Amino acid sequence: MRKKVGLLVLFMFFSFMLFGATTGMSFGEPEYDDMDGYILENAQEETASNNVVTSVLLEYRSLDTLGEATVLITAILSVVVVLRRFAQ
Amino acid sequence: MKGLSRIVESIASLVFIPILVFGLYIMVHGHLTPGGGFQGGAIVGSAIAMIFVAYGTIEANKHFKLTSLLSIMAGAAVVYLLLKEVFSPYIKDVMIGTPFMGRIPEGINIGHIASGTIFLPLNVLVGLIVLSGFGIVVVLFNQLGGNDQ
Amino acid sequence: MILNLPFIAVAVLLLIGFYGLLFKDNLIKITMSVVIIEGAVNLFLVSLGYVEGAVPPVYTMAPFEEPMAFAVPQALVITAIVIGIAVTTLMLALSVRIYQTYGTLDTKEVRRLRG
Repeated sequence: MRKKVGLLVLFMFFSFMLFGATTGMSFGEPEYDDMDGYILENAQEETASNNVVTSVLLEYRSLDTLGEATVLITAILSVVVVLRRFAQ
Repeated sequence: MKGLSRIVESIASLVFIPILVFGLYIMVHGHLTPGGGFQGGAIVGSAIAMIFVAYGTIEANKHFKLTSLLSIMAGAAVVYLLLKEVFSPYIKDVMIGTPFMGRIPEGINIGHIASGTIFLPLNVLVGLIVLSGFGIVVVLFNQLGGNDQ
Repeated sequence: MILNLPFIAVAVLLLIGFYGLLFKDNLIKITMSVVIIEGAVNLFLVSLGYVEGAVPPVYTMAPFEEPMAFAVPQALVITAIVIGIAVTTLMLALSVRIYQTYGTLDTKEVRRLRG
C-alpha cells in the first residue's frame, strides 16, 4: 500500500519535471545577463589573466573558494575521527 | 592489501614522476589554460592512489604518513587565508599595471606566463589542499582490510 | 523539443536517483543514488549558461568572432563537484562503521538501538 502511493507521487514529480524541461526555457538562448556581461568584458584588465573562470573563482568570488576549502577540511577531519583504530 | 607483480611495481614507479610534473603544470598555468588548483590536485591525488594499488599497503605506508599529510593540509589552508584576506590590498592592488606580473594585452593573444597578479601561489595552495585530502582518504581506507600476505 | 535534450536528461537522472533513494534497502545503493542526484544537479547548472555556437571563456588562442559561454556557472559547478566528493567519502566511512557494529548493511535491521 505504501509502495503504491510512493510510486504515484514519484510519477507525478517526474511528469512535472518533464513539463518544466520542455516548455520552460530554451536551451542555448539565455537572456542577456548584467553580471556575466560585465565579467566577460572587464576580467582581462582588472585581473590581468586570460582565464575568466579562474579569475571568477579567485578574485570575484574568492570567499566561495575559502568556504569550499573549509567544507573539505571538515569532511576529511570527520573521516579521520570515524575510521580511527584504537588497537596497537 | 597485497601488491601486484614486479612488472607493475617498476612501471608504476617510473610513471609516478611524470604524473607529478603534469599535475604541477596544470596547477601553475591556471591563469592561461583551462585548469587551476582543483583539477591539478585531483590529478596528483589519483597518482597517490596508483602507488597504493601497485605496491600494497605495508610497503606504501612507509612513504605516506598521516601526520605529515594533515600538516600539509592545515598549513596550506592557513597560508591561503592570510594571503587572500589580510595581505591582499597591499600585494595585489600594487601589482596591477606594473610590468612585474600585472599586464596583459587586450583581446585574444597567445598567453604570457608572467601575468595574473597573485594567481600562481593561490592555485598551488588550493592544489595542495585537494592533494592531501585525497591522500588522507586513501591511507585511511587502506588500513581497514585484514592481512592476506 | 529535441533541442532541450540536456534538460530532459536532468529529469530522467532525477527520476532514477529518487527511485533508488526511496525504495532500496542496501546502504551502498542509497549512496550511489545520492551521487546520481548530485550529477544531475551539476549538469543542470552548467547547461544554463550556454550560448548558441559558443567557445569556452578563455582568451588564450580563442577563435575569432564567436560568442563566449557564461563563466560564472562553470566556476560554481567546480566547487559543487568537490563538495560532492567530500559528502560521498563521509557516507562511505559511516557505512563501514555501521557494518562493523551491526554485521549487516540492511537498513531494516539497523533500526533498533543496541546497548
